[in-house]
This record gives sequence, structure tokens and C-alpha cells, in this order.
Amino acid sequence: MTMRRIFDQELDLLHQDIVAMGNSVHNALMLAFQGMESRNVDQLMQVTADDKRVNEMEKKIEARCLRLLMKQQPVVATDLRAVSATLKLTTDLERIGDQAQDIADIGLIFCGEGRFPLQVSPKMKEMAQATLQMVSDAMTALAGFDLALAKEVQGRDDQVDQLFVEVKKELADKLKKDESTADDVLDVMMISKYLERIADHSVNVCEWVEFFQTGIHQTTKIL
Amino acid sequence: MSTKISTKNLNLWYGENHALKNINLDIEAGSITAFIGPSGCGKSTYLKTINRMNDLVKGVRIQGEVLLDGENIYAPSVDVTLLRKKVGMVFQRPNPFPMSIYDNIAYGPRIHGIKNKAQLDEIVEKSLKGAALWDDVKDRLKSSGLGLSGGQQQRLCIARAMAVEPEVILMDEPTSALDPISTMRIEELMADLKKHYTVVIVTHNMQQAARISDTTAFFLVGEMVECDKTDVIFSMPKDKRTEDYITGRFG
Repeated sequence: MTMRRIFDQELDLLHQDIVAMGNSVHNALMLAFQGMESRNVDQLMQVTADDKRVNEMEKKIEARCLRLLMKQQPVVATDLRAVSATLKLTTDLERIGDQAQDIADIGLIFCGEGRFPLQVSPKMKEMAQATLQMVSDAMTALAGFDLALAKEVQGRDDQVDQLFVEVKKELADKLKKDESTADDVLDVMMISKYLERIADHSVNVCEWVEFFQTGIHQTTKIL
Repeated sequence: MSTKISTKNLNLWYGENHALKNINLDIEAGSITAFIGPSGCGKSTYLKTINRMNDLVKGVRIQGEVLLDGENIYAPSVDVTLLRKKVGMVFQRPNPFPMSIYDNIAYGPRIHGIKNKAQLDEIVEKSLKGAALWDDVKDRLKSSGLGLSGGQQQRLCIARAMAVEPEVILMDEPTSALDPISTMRIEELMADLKKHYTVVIVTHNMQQAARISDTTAFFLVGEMVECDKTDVIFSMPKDKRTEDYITGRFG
């Protein structure tokens, strides 16, 4: 008989839940982009439906964490880090899910109006790909407790921030040349800002993965 | 879930001391129920009414009913030896008999008439396996039970209780004399036990109650103040006195 079998089983289930939630938000973000590119209203609507499920997952994970704290009262730092990191990064995953839905909502508006604003900024597509890759890698780091990957993803945030600056410039130029593109430009600006925030949340997820492994959060030893 | 033990209007006096005051409580089959409360609150006294251990105390007076599967165990027709076969008990301090590990386990079945060696062998093995002690002792069944460590001795006592195939196992602070590792092993054992038995445990360790039990009852000066799902007792107790106790404000 192994020690602390029940607690370990609960921690495993918690990890499975958080990985499942991470995969769901990554999937939602992919769906939002595919839906926008192919102007597929069904896909875009699906993102909204999925976001409800993600919110339910968040509540389930929070309840599991709090129940573990109440019933098992972890005193060992590793256990405390596992539960507290999960509680924190759940919020980041939920925000990524919300922002995927915000992007899908913008997509639904321009599909309804028969516009195709993605054409106004080729850079935005590059930014979207970089962000999606960050989310994907953050989820891989989370699933496999991969400290090296978690650190590497954090370093990629500057790249997305740089792309955001370039998208803004591209959009500003567009608007200066042709005022009739204003609606499209504003939509793409919003989407880019969401992407920039999603990249930040991916970094946060990776910071919590690092904290779980090392007790260090943003270079400060906190447990 | 069905009710295994039902207590109705139970009162108990030790001489003039009214130790249990009108207890009403149902205990579910196949679950772990924990009794918590400060010393002298009546939790151990109540535990002992479930297999009539209090009968042995001089000057005790009991009113009310304790029903096991619907039958009042205080009815005059009840055979107390048979009752204690159905409702086993494990105490705070491990108390192996001063005999071999094998004989400790075989003692109960022998009293209940089993003489066949092969059958006894089987019971000993099954009980020791059930108490997660078999691997530790299988090569020294003939050595004294008193030679085991404290944690092993307590598992021996649990195996001894299981050997007569009880339906209920009562545990009176079964880990308070054990180190943390032995405690954890006993706690894990309890989680396995509830698959086959109804387990009732008295504990001073509130964390233990929170970790292992399905239901928790809080006792105070002879009263059962509150009984609910353990999650509810520890997250949203209804009675202020329960909250004060579990948060360490008194007791």
C-alpha cells in the first residue's frame, strides 16, 4: 500500500481537470480563428457554447482545490504549490477562453455585415499564429510539468508584443490612406489587443508551472 | 445508502452524571462516521453504547434505543456476545493479546466455534491482508503480537476485529498513540474498510475527521450538537458551537 494514496489520486484528478480545461481553451481559440478565416458562423457560434463549458470547468476545479485544502490540509510545500498554482492558473485559462469568445463575437459581427477585415492586416495573421503556438506550448508545459518549455514560452511574449506594435502601425497606415476602412481597422485592432492579452495569460500559466516546480514566481521565491 | 445504526432518544447516566442527553442519530451503512468534540463530551461513551461496552461500567443507566438493522440492541433477548461479533471495536492503545500473531487473529473465530485448522489459516490470512499487515508478518505468524511496532499492533487489532466478520467496526481514537506514518496507513486502511463495513470513529484530530469521514457528528457536554456530511460540517456548520470548536475557539 502506498502512502497518501487518496490524496495523490485527488491531485491526479485535479491535474487531469486543469489539462482538460487548458485543451478546451486552446481549442476555442483555434476554432475562433478558423471560423473567422473561413467565415464559418457555426464554428464561431460553437466558441460561445464551449465557453460556457469552460466556465463550468473553472468552477469544478476551484471547488476541487478548496475541498482538497479543507479535507487534506496539505502541509508539504509541493502539495500546497500544486493546489495554489492550479487555483491561480485556472483564472488565466478562463480569461483566455473569454477572449477567444470575444474574438469569435467580432467575427460574427463582420460575417453578418458581409465584411472581411482580416485582409487589412497580413501581420495580424502572423500574430495570431504566434499566439496560438504560445497557448499550445503553455498547455504542453502544464500537462507535462515541463519547466524548460514553460521558461521558453515566457521568453516568446516579447515577440508577440513586437508583432502587436507592427499590426498597430499597419492599421494606422491603412486608416490614413483610406478612411472607409475604419470599421475593419477597429475590428482588427480589437482582435490584436485580445491576442496580446492571450499571450500574456499564456505567460502567466507558464509562470505558475514554474512556481509549481520551483516555488519561484516571477523571480521571487514565494513558497 | 441505508441506515445501519439508528439511535433514538438515547440517554445515559453514570450514577448522577447525565453523560448522554437525548441522542438521536442515524449512521449509514458502508460509510465512515466520525465523532468529534472536546474531552468529556460523550463521544466515546456514545461509541461504546453501540456494542454495549458501557454495560460493563458500574452504576450505568441507559434509556432509549439503539437499533442495528432495525433491531434494538438493548432488548432483553439480545445476546451481547453475538452483538459484539457483529460490532467489533478497536481501542486507542493497541492491545494485542500476549500470544502469537496467528493466535491473536484466531482467538475470536475459535470462541465462536471454528476449530478447523485450514479454515482458521484462511481467516488469519484474509484478516491480515484486509488490515494491510500480511506482507509484514506472513513469515512470523508464530511470533508474539507484542513484538510488532505500535502501528503494526494497531493493524493487528483491526485484523483481529475483522476475523469474526463484523458488520460494524468502532474505533476509539485508533491513531492517537501512533506516529504520523502509521496514522496515515491506518487512515488509508479505513478508506478500504468502508467498502465492506460500517466504520464509526472517535477522534480528537479534526483534520483526520475531515480527511477520512463521510459524516461528522459534533458532541458537546453530552449533547449531539450537529451531524451532517463532513464537507458541510467543515465548510458551513449550522451551529455556532460547531464552528467555534472546529476553528479552535474552544475545547
